[in-house]
Amino acid sequence: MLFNSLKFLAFFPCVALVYGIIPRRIRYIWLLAASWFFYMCWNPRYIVLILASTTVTYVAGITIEKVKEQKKAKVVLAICIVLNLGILFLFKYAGWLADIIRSLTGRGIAITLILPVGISFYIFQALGYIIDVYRKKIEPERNFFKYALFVSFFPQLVAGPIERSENLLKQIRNMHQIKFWNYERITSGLTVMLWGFFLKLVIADRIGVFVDYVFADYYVYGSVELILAAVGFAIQIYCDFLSYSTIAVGTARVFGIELMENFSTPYFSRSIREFWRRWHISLSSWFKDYVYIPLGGSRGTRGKYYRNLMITFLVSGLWHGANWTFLAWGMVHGILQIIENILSPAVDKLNRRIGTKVNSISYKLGQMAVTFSLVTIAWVFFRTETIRDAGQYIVRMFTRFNPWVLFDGSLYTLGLNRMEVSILMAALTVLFVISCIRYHLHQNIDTFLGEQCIWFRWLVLLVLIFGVVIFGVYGPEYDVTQFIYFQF
Amino acid sequence: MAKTNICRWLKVLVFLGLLLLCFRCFFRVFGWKDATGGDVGEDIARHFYETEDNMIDVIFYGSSHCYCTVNQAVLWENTGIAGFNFATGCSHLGNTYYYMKESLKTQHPKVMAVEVFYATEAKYGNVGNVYRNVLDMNWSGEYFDNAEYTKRSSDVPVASLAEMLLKTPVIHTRYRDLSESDFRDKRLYGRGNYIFWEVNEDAEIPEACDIKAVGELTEETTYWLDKIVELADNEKIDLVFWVSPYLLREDEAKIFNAVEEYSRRKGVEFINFNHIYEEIGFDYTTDMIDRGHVNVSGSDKVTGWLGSYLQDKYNLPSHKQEEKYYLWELNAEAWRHKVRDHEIQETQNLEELFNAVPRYGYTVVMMTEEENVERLCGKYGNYEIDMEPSYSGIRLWVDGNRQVCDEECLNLDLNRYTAMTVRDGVVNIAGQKFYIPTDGVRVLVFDNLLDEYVDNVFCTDFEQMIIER
Repeated sequence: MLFNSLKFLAFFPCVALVYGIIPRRIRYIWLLAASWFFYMCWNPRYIVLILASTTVTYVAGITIEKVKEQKKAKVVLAICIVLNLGILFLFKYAGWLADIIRSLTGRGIAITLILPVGISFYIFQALGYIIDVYRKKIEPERNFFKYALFVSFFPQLVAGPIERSENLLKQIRNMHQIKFWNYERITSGLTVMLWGFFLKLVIADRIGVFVDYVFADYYVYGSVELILAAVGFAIQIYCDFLSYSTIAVGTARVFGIELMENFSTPYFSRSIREFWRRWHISLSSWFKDYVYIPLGGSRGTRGKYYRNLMITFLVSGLWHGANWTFLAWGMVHGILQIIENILSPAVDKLNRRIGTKVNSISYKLGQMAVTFSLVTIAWVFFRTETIRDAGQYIVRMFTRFNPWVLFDGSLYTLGLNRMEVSILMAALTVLFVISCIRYHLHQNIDTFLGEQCIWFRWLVLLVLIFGVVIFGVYGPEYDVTQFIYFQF
Repeated sequence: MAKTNICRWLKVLVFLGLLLLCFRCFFRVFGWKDATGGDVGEDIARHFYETEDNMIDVIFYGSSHCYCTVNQAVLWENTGIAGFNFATGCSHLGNTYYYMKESLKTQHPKVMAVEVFYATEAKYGNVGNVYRNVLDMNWSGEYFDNAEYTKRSSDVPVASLAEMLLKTPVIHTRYRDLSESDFRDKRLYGRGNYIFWEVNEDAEIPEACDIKAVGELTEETTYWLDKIVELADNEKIDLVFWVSPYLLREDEAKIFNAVEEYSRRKGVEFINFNHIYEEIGFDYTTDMIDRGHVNVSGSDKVTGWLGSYLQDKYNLPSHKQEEKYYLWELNAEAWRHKVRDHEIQETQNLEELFNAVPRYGYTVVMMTEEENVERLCGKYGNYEIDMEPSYSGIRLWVDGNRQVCDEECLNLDLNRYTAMTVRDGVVNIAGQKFYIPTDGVRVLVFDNLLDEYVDNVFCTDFEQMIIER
């Protein structure tokens, strides 16, 4: 069941209403049933995987607490991690690995398993829990159903944010204390959901038409189209993923659960390092806490630091998918961070020498532009089918100069006509304004609107509602477009 | 505390009310308006819904064969019968049944005349035909049943039932082709007639007209015919099944013979115009626009006969003198304009043109160099051109009042919707500019009632006054 489907529009209010009516002590049972139903709408058989991961981590959690010796606890933890990663490996990487072996040796079998939706997300969430229990950061949950809800909570089940037990599990434990009929919280949740739908249906899916058009036959286009499509993909993937996280946050808020923020205006970052503090925060911090720091982090020699950085980014790339392109994407980001780290003292020195006003807006904008450009180029690896395609695409971005297409109207023949481009530009302006508010005032759309007068608030809400209703990409003319991050 | 809470939830209610109001406007603009399968852009269903309750004597149901054949304006002119074509393109019998049920919520006609081309079970053929059979209707039980039936019987891929029921997922993409008619319906008087002037020059009398053999009705067709008969019986309304004249095939003729037999068994009137075409003077070679639809000439003949038949058989009164039937009178007036406009477009020279354009209800602009005016002076049919001082060379007649453009600038409203300006020898009607020709005379004719350009002619031959278009 997709967020942007009619099923969800019926499912969500039903679940919320029943949640608000039933006795508080059984709320978690109701939400668990709803979450499992939500997941089974894709493929009922894959509920077995969630159950397996849930059961293994649940039992392991209790066992770790019971065993006194650290060594035994470590063994239990290792078994638990291996079992979970085993499931992930089998469904996500076994086919890819088998293909590599076959292409190298000419022998072997083809493994074709359908990738269960959201498997990387809920397995990482479960692994985070068991590691936290092992580190004694959290008490193991004894109520199986509460723990199962932590792993399967439907708003963030299939595309995150990857929640931490310290945050989500604690809230589930205290779910009986939540007062459901809270005007501020419900309206805030619904506003956030509406903003998410706007991002997905009006921006991401609309710009996706242009991006798909160009990427499908990238070889025939010149620099301008390729650059615009790459920028378009950067916007598409941001709006697509941000929209899912936003709808998830809004949905959870209606139930009285606060999920962590997954994005913080990442394209306003002034360095790659900052970008990763703002992009997919739940995953970045997961890798930081459970991979990068255990590896040693930035402690030790520079070489070790760079090694840890590269390993983390390569694993992060692989997490996104079983393909060389994702690995390359992770590697590019790792390399960029290392270069940034090496060059930054020299740049600082140069700035001091020539007296650059590093606090000026123009300098900051320049930094943002450079970071955005680098991130956009790296996205090409993410979007193309093969490394070779990515290479050709990037080379052609800079070698097929054709500025006349900016003037002869041919850009309007690439899937979006003038009217669609105008709608897109208007929607992007709205996104830019909201992002500026987020960046400068540190307010999300719901808090910002909450502080405005009622007429302005209602006007914005009506504009967003009818923006989605009229200009949203949905209905029989379109296939319901999946969220890009579902495939991870 | 309780007061604050009440206030908050009250705000929610007010917001929801506002939202509903906005959605109402949204559906008004974005609602499906094309019931006719063409680019007519008029909203038969809305015209029907906005007709006062219990006004209609005869409702004609069915497919495009129905609304192309029965001209409600001619029916009104001839007989004073208040009729309405509540028909849609490619309406299957099931759709027709639900349209009948829907119409009976507000109207209780004396006769329901059901055109039964779809007893042949022709296909919808394209997605537009499916939608126009569903989305025009207001939300109601009949709407849901009709949508469910249409989805089930559709032969082309269409939206899911949920999407059709909600309407919005289907209609929201209309933002791409919204036009003036979506925002203001200038013809709420429309009674559902769509008549065309083209002639199918390849048409011949179909041999199938003489076929006596009787085909077999499918279970599906019989089911819907039964439902229609049952509905008419329950409502105690006289029912007529009829088939419009068209270039029918042998298999279709047999089906209609089967419907005739069915009607006889059920005691329902049945008229197959393909059997009585000679009696009504119908000529297939001149009265068709294509294989399936009659043109204006054919429509006049069928409507004329049908009007007399219905009036005699069901003793239907004439409402011509009744004020509350003004919509039918307006529809007839619009039709008179249509006919007149067509005549204007057929004229060959300026004399004929000025004779054809009535003095009232039209705007006529004559544009020429001032030195040519003398050559044109004199009476031309309903109009007189003289040498009154005018620097611009533009003569203007608006709705009967002659105005000579002797001012530098003139701003005029031609009707509620369209304005024109004359400035520095340039005429601008609703954004379209016309310039004085250097070597002749240009005449523009605008129909103020229908809000349409009728003609834009050019003449260089001041002797014969031959015009070019």
